[in-house]
This record gives sequence, C-alpha cells and structure tokens, in this order.
Amino acid sequence: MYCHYSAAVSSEPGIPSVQTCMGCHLYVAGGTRGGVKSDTAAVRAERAQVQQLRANSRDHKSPEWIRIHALPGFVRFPHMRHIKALGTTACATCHGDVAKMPQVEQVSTLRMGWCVRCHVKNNVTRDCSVCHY
Amino acid sequence: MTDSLDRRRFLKVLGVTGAGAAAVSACGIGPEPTERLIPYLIQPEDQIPGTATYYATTCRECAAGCGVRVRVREGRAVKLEGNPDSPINRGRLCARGQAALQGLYNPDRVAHPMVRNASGKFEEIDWDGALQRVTAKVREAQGKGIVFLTGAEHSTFGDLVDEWMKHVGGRRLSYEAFGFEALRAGNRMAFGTATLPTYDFANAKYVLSFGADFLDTWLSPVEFQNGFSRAHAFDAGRPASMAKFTYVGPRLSLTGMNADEWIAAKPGTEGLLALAMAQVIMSQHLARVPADASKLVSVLAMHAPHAVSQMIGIDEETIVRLAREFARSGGGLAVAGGMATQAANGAEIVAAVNILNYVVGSVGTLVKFGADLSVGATNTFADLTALTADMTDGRVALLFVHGTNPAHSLPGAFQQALGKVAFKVSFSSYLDETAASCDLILPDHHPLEQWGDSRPRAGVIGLQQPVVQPVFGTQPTGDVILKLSGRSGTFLDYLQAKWRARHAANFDQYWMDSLAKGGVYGEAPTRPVRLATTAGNFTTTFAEVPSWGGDGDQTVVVFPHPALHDGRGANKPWLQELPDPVSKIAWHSWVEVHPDTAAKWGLATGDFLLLQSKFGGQKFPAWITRSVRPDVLAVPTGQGHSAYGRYAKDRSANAFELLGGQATVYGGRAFIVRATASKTGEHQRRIATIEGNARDLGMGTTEVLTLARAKALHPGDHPFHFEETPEYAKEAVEWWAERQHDKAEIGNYKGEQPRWGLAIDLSKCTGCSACVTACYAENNIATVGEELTERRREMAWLRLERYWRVDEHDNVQGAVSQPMLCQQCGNAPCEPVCPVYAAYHTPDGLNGQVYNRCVGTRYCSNNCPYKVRYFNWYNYAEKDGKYEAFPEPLSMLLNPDVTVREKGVMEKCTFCVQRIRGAQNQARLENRNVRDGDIVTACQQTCPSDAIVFGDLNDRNSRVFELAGNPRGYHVLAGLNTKPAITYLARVVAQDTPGNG
Repeated sequence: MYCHYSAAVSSEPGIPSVQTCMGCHLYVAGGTRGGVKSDTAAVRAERAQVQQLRANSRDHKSPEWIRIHALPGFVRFPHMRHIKALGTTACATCHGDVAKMPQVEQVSTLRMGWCVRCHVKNNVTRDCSVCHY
Repeated sequence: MTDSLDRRRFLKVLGVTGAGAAAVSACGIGPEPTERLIPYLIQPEDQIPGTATYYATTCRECAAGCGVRVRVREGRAVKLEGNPDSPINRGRLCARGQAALQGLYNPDRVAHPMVRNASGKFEEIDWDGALQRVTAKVREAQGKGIVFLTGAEHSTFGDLVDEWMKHVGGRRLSYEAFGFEALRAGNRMAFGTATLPTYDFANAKYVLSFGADFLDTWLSPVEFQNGFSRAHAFDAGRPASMAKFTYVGPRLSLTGMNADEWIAAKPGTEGLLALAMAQVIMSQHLARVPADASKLVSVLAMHAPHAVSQMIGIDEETIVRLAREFARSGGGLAVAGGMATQAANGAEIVAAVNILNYVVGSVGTLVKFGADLSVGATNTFADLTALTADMTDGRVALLFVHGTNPAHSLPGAFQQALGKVAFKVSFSSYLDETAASCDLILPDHHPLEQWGDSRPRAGVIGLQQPVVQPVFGTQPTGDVILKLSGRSGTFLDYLQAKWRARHAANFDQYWMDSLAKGGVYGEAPTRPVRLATTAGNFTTTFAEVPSWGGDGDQTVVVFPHPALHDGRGANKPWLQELPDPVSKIAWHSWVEVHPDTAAKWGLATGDFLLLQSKFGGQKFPAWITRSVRPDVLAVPTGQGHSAYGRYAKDRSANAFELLGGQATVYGGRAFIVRATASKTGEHQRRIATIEGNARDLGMGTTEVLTLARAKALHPGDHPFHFEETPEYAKEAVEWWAERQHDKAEIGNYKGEQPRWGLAIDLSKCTGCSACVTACYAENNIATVGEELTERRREMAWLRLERYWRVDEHDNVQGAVSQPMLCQQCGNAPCEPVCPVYAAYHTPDGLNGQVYNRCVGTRYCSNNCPYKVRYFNWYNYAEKDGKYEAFPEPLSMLLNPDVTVREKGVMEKCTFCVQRIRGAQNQARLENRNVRDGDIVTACQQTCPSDAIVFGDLNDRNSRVFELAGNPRGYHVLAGLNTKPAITYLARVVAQDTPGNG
C-alpha cells in the first residue's frame, strides 16, 4: 500500500506524508478521470485540489486533512488484523470505493452493531476486551 | 431467576419509564468533535505510527550504570525497560530507573537559561548571552580558584570536564551524598587497595550483611538483587537448595526484611562480631584458611566471642553458631556498608568484615577486586568539607555544579559557603536548592535527551544516546563546555573521537553495534589481593561503641530512602507515591520508634517527634515498629526540600539537617548522630500509608515454609490448609461459575482458548517495589497525591503487602512481601454484581473491565475479596483539575496503548492486556501461535528477582504451568472458591521457626 503505508503492519493506517503525495501528484494534475477531458466544474475542482497540494509541498506547509473515519477513543481498531484476514484489496469493504469518490465520505455506519455483524458472519471473536481495553 | 426478566432488562425498563425514550436510544457513536490530521512533510524512516521503536541507552538515576531500552512511540518516550544485553542489570530495572521518565517530562524542569538579575530574581536569558557571561567570568576568575562539582561521573563527559578544568587552571570534584568512603578505607586497611570490588551474590552459599543494603541502594542494587535471588530463592533442584541470608544491623531496611535471621547487634559493634566469627572459624579450623591469615591470630584472639559478646549484645552461642554456618556453607559472602559503617569506626568495621571473608577464602572468588566500581572513585566527604572551607575563606571565585545537589544534603555549611563564592553556575535541569542559590543556570539536557557514556566498572562502558528530541530549550552541557573552551564540534564528535581512539578499525560498524547493544560489555580480570600489613591494626576506639557526634541521649540513624535516595527522587510523583517497602508510608518521612520506647514516651503512630542534634533539628511523625532496636531511632532522607519543584518543595522534613559537617577519620560522613527527642504535641491524623488499609488482607494470606519442610515436598503435595466452601454455598457458587463460562463461550470460536495466569514466587520477591512503578508507567495509572493517599484513594493496581515474620520469642526476624493484584478469578465475585456487564469474563481467562460500559456503581469493588479494584473518584487526567496527575508535559509519558480513565470508572490490573493483544496480533501477522515468553507483563519484565512469571495455564509446556503445579504453590483466600489465575509460591525460610506476625 503506497499511501496508507502502515495499514498492513500496524493498528494505525498511517497518513501519507506530503512527499508521498507528490510521488504521483508532481505529474498527475487530476481532472482526467476515466479519460474524460472536458472542462467541467468537477474537473476544475479536482485540478484545484491538486494545485493546493502542490502549493503545500512548495511552501513546506502540511495540509490539514479533515478526518472522516473516526472511532471514539474507547475503541481500539487494529487495521493489520483486518487486512491480514480480508486481504489488501478489502479496503472498500468498510471505506467504500474511495478511488471513485470526488471527496471521501463515510459509507458505513462504523457503529459497534455493524462491526459485530461482520464478526459473527465470519465466525471470529466477539469478546469485548479485544477492542475495548 | 428466569431469563425473561434479567438485571439488564429490568434497569432498561426502569430507565425508559423514568427518563423517557431518549435515554434508551442514545447509545453508539455520538457527535464527535472534528479531528484534523496533519501529515509529515517528509516521512521519518524509522517510525511506523502505531508501533514502537526501541533505543538502548544507559540509566543515570544512580551510579550503578544499568542498561535500559526505551520504548518510543511517535517521538515520545513512554516506557523504560532493562536492557537484556547489559551484564549489570540483565534486562531488569528498579523503581528509580522506571521513574526516570518523570524526570524527562517533569513540569518543573528549567526550560531555558536563567540569570539572577539585580533584584535577586531569576530571569530568562538567551544561550549566547549566557555563554558570554560565563566566558567573562572564567577569565576573571583565573588564578582565583575555579571548581567544577559533579556527581559520580566516570565517563567521557567527566573526562571533558577534567580537560577543561586543567585548561583554565581549575579542578573538578565529584560528590555523592552517600559515598562509600568507609568501604574504600576499609579495603585499603585490609588489602592495601582502596578500590571497590564486585560481589558475586549468585554463587554465594551464605550471605551475611553487616548493614549493607544491597537490595536498596548499596553499590549496584539491581545486579545484586538478581544474583541474590539466584542464590537465595528456593530451588528444589539444587543440592544446597538455598543460601541463608543473615542481616546484622540496628534496623530492618528493605534488605534486612528479606533476611532469614536478623541479628540486632548494638550499633557500632558489627566489626566486633565479624572478628569474633573469624576467630571462631580460625581457631576451630572450620574452613581452609589462607596461610597468611595466621598473622592475625593474636588480634583475633582479643576479639573472641566471650570477650565481645556483651559489648555486641549477642550471646556467645549465637556468635559461634553463625560462624559455623558461615564457614560450613562452603561459599560465605559477607558484605559491609550502610548503617554499619557510618560512624568513626566505619572503615575498621569494613576491614573486620574483609578479614572474615578472607578467612573463609571468599576473597578472589565471591569478592572480586579488579572491577573497580566507579562509585569508589568519587571524592570523599572530607574533600567536600575542604572545598566548603575553601569556599567560606573566599578561595573559590567561580563554582560550576552539575548533577549533584550539595545544598540539600549539606544544608547548613555548604549553603552558607555558597554565599561567599563570587559567581556560581548551575547546569541543573531542575531548580533544586543548589541551583536556586546560583547566579546563572544553564540547564542541561536530561540523560535521555543527550549523548554520553558511563563507565560504572572496569570492562563495562554503557553508551548513552538521545531517545527523543529535546523537550525544552536546554543544551547538553558537553556542547556548552566545548564552546566555552573554544573548541569546535559537538559533544557527540568529542565522544566519538574518544571511542575511535579505543577502537579505530571499522569504527562506523563498531559504533552502530555498540549503540544497538547499549554499550561495550566485558569482564575485567579479577585482581588477586593479599592481606596488607595494616590488616590487623585496629585502634582502641574500635572496640568501644562510638560516642557518635553531638549531644542528646537518643541514637538517631539516618538512612537513604530506597526510592528518593539522597533527595533526587523527590520531584517524581511515581516515587513519592510509592509506599516505602518497609514502612509503607508515601509522600512523607517518618521516624521509626520501637514499641517499648514509644510506650515509655506515651507515643502513638503519627505523633510528631522533634529530633534535635547539635547540628540541627527537624520534626518527623513517629512510626511505631518492632523492626528497629529499642535504643535506636531511624529516619530516612529524601524529603524536606526547600526548592526542586511542586512535588518536592516544602514537604516533610530533611534528615540531613540532623547531621554534622565534619568528616570522620577515614574521610566519610557520620550518618549516626546523638539527638534529643521530644514530643511536639502535633499529631498527623493519618500518615499517607497503605498499611492498616481496608485493603490489607491480613494474616493467612502468605504462606511460609521452613527449609526442611520445603525440601521434603514432592510434586502433588498440598501442604497448606484452606477452608472448604460450606455445603450450602457450594451449589450456588458452582452454578454461577458455569453460567459465567457459558457466557464466555459466546466470544469463543475455534480451538481452545488460552487461560492467562501468573505465578509469583514469594521466595524471590524482596518487596523492592520496582513492579509497582513499572505498572504505573505501563498502564497510565494516576498518582493521587498526599491528601488522597491519606484518604485511601490510591490507584496502584499492584500493591505490596508486607507481613512481619517473628520467631518463637515474638522477635521480628524479617518480613514477607506479597504482591497483590487482580487475581483474574475463574469464579470472580465482581462479575455477577455489575449491572452493566462492564466486569465480565473473557474467553481467555481474564476478568475484563470495559471502561466505556462502566457506570460507577462500585459494587464490583465492594464484592472483591482481595480489594484490588480501584475507582476513579476524581478526574485525574483533567487539565488544571484539582487532582491533576499528568500536568504538561508529564502527559507525554502516557502509554498510547492503554486508555486513560476518567472520573467514575473502575479500573484494575488487566494482566497488561494491551501486551497480550499486541503479541496475539503479531503472531497472527506471522502466521503462528503465541509462544510462551512472547508476552511479558510490565511487572514481570522489570522484576530484578524474576519473581513473576506470566503465561498460558492451558499450555502444558509453559513456565507458568509448571510453577502453578509446584507443591509450594497456593491461592490466596482459596476457601472462597474464586479460582484465581495467580499461584503464589510460598516463601521458604532457612531458619527453624518462621511464623507470621
């Protein structure tokens, strides 16, 4: 995983550093998703975002991302266990198809009932102290 | 009880009818404040968020030089652990070492240079300005006396200071408040060498200590405790099975408490006892005595048991018995120090004990010269009094102080002499008493923030590296001195140059390897020593009980507090809140008074006694105890600071005030003094102590076996009696247990679950309390402060209960320390009574505590028979709250893997569940099962005696399974049928009549 680099080894997914972003976005200006080349508002908006990122990198100022997927402090979610069990392509299971989103949004409720349902379906632990300690 | 209306539904219905529908539906994730994520610009290479990086460095909390590994999370040091590669501490760490983190993130650290302005107050100054001033002062002071005072600093930094002092025409002195002058002088007298040897406790077959507190503060406590545990713990497999430990001293220190036998000789007569024993051994040919010992025959004959027994206060038969035991063991090790060597005859007492060792052939085998412990190379107290005299007479124009606080340990003389020095510079990281009297403060980095090394003994060089970025605007003193001496480069360059000079070939690889291991570890060859010509030259005053300094009719012994030591630990709340292993008193000093003496004076525990010696007077609350001689009063050092931060300032009394400033004949300091004791009429309603608590389990919870009985045990024996559950209760209890396990099965899936368990060997546990501080560090436990400790609100998940052992004459012989923590009962009384299922049983055998479910009824704590559940009565994590436990930047040491609990939540030991889950996660990533030894609880990891073993009780190959089946094993309060997961192994005592007192 290039961007969220520590999701497979740590409980934290890891926010990509600006240097990582620029690895692609030095060249990828955005706005040509799926080969579309027309000058729509959406395309312009996307290009503006990439320009913002390039400005951040040039001015040595980190962007302030707004966190979308936030669990409360009393839950400990180990990313690496889930990736180990479900595979590195399973991100969309919980986060939706982020690659196609113009702006990331939360598609799952992330509530405990939703977590437990998946655990029951996959016949894995429902012990409280695995996530709450 | 039917299932249709159980407790939870009942409460839910109640809630709905009472408070309306909103109460029931308001659950799940509520509106959280928007979080912002700030990424790095450039990713640091060695950090993976969510995982820890470990750095090896050296602990500088005392002069022993143990190696530590620091666990760093996201650039913050969160836990110190021993470095397994270091031969000094072998992966273990004492409470003082654990508390070094609180020195690093202490809220009262000096953040930037300060200079005393015209009105006498300190004000901020920039580094360049400060250095200019110092350079000017150095120039001014040349030829008029420049002195650099350090602590025990046998290191490259010390070398740099020496070089600089030579360059400017000054000199360096190193001062430790508890120096070992008596040891050095005694070794010179007996063997002609004033160096300090190392002691091989692990191979001793009999340990005899004359006041030497080798488990508290003497020389290298972690190393000696580790070795002592190997020799002294009961091991059925060994032919000799355990080494007896006899302690000779006027009071039971932590070390004395662990003795099998306590010989309370009159203070000052310990040397006579040693010579009497040597005389018996030689005259009765009890050992293979070296040939040259024959020249001592006449001296020893003068000190035969019948001649000295009355002076010592011990009868002849006992002396002869001790001599026989010591010699016949085939590996007797006698050590002298501490309270036994603290008066004018201290050096001679050491020489006498040296002779005893020599006579049984232990010198060269168990007492190994050649190690040259560096703490023996500091300046003596006599040198310091000479310096004080120089300062008073105006012969010192410029004084630098680094790593030592003489204004606290020498309150009168040194403080006044400081006033006569024209300019004083302190490098202290904290505003202690000495820094508060200086003119300029150039705060040093904390040892965890800077490069350095340490040479604690010959062959061992501990390397020190910065593990975090500097927290404040401080600078390493090494850099500062290089700048002041006009040299280029940083201290790191200087350090590497010195290391390169030692090992130039392939230096970069060598340096990296040394950094990873934490240093260079070698064995110095043992230097053979012979008896010197001065060995038998005991003066006439040696045989007289010393008159001590001062007037007054009471003998007062001043001893170093095991955690606060000479006062340096007083600014760390973990150490202040740690109950003293002997008295169980926290946040305060005390004076130990025997019950007979107290009865004479009509004294109760808590009454304040004013002790007035010729040199000063201080008030201490009395603690009535049988662990001190009736004719002796004992007070600890460490408290009574007039500066040094919010945790230390104006707290209790400074025992150093009672002592004089004159050196003894061998250059040491007298820590025993005559004083008057008078009641002040004041009474401390409650001393902050955990003794006499509602939590004290009382007698019958520790089991002690005599050595003979322990040796006779076979696997499958059950030597301990416990009460049976009465018939009427059996069915109810078993029914509940089954229901609990059924419920636990809900979480279960494939395969058998582990059952986590602990085995604690009371024969190894010394009561040193390192585990308590490690638990505080690992689990974000709040320190509640003195007022709340007095009100029994302490939060320590692990506490040490101390039970006295008495002989058949009801005399105290020692104590048993029992670590008490959540027993993770299989049949837990706390689980059925929680109305919200916050306390429940996990499938892997833990008694789980889910903080976010807890509503704070406290019924679980009420029901717990071990009283190991702790409630957050206040919000200890609240910023600027009244009982704030983690004022900035102390909050940086919090472990991110453990929830910080807030008010209204119950907490308790979790068997370091975060480490269990971490190991399980790691095992899953590596496609394997968790192995025995993968999971090490914080208490287990730090214990210098290796008394605690954690593992899976369902794994028949695990260490804990084997220990749980040991015939010495028992459960505490077994008759309650709680089925605890912790097995205690009974203490074995190498004496005929152990008892519980």
